[in-house]
Amino acid sequence: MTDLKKKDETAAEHGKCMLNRRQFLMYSGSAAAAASTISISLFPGQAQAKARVVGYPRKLVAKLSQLKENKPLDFNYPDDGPNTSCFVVKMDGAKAGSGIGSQRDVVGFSYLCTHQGGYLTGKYQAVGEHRVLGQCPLHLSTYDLTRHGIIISGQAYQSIPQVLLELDGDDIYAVGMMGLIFGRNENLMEG
Amino acid sequence: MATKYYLPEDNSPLPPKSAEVLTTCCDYCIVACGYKVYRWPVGTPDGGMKAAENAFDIDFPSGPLQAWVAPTQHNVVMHKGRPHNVVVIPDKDSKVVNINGDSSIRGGTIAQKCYNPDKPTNDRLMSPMIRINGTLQPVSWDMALDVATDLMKYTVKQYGANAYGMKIYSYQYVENTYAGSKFARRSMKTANWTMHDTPANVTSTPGFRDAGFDNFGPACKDWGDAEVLMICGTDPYETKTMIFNQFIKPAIDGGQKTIWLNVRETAGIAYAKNRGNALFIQLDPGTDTPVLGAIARVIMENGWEDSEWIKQTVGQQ
Ligand code: SF4
Ligand code: FES
Repeated sequence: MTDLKKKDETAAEHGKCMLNRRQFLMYSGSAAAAASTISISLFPGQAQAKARVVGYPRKLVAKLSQLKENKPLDFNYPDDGPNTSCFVVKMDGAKAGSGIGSQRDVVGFSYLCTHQGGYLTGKYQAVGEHRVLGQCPLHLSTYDLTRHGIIISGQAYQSIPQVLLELDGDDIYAVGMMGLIFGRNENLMEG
Repeated sequence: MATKYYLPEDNSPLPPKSAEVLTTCCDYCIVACGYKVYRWPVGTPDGGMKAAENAFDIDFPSGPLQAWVAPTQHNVVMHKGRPHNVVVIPDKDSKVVNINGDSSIRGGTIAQKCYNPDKPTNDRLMSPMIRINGTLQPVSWDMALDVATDLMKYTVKQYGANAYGMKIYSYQYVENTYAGSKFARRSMKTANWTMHDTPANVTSTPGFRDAGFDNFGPACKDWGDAEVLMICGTDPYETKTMIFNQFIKPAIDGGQKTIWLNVRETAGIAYAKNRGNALFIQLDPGTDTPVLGAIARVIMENGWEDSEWIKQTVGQQ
């Protein structure tokens, strides 16, 4: 477990290495603090940002007790249309940004590579302290599931979209999504 | 109050049928992949999800390898005094290098380089700057060029032609490279001129040309046609992505052998190893030259070299 502890960085350290250096888009916290938001903490106990979840359906996707360690469970989100393959996984104690459960190790993500839409089904890997999705069968993009799906290596244009989860007793609900799903121009399609 | 948390966007506009379409190249590496720019005024309708309603002529949601606009591929720029949407995506009609519109993470996000004062490009210099009385100040191009010319003349007069030096990007567009080199070498008559990564006008892979290779000689296709590739100190998956994705990766799938010398097991190496026909020599930083020398020695001791080829090519510039 000691190597897992290394991941428990402060938000400041996290910001230094990933957000500022890569010049990611900044987001105005005050503008985002409207009613329909959910708190995003990179790691528990740290300051929180708000993600917009307005309009997203609240969907029961799994029961916590039903999840086996490191075994992804598939579901569709935010609707049942094309490009909605997602999974939820309990990452065997690896604490993650937006992770839920007592160990903050339960996360949800899209299966569609945000490069050119390669299917990442079966590409979940747990190696040592690392929890990754990849390599994509098309051009090898690989994503870090402990850090909101940021690209570790590869050609994708953005992080793999993360499904925001909520825990209600033993029930895991999908309640929103961060990042645009491959192939869509809006995550929420009309009709 | 801005937070430093990354909250990615969950939508992006599709270009309408009426969008202007320009072609361009990615300028991040010598592969020069083809891109298409779609431009339409902000405030006019975006494209719709039906093939008949967007510039890509496909229905959305799109499928694997079809056109798509990631939020990082959209930007807003001023054009003819009016804000315009620009979408820059790899050209799905590309017939060479990034065939069918493949892309790397660098080229894939070139829309982010377009100047937009609301984005990280807001620190871009909009005019030349000269330090006057200790403070950097924006000045006109005329003034900057006058000052530079006077200083260059003074320097050459005082210290000789070689006191003027030029470092120039070597594989940008021919027009720029040609004009810059001609100016330095013919007009300024300086020997103090070189390209981006070299200390003098020599090849960036010392010894390579002497050994009979032109390092920019091979066609992209040669990387796939070779039976064995030895790749030292780089991973083309990361540095020349399209050469890897379009030529080397399919060749590895077809049995091409690769030998890698690298400090880290990067993605291209990991892939080749998984396919089972790669040798990965993970070395300590800075030891490539002794390792290559040792390999050359074993080859020489066993007489495995092609002496006829060496006689004909080595040192025969
Ligand atoms: S391989 Fe990548 S960096 Fe090089 S030209 Fe193509 S898109 Fe640009
Ligand atoms: S589609 Fe996944 S890396 Fe290209």
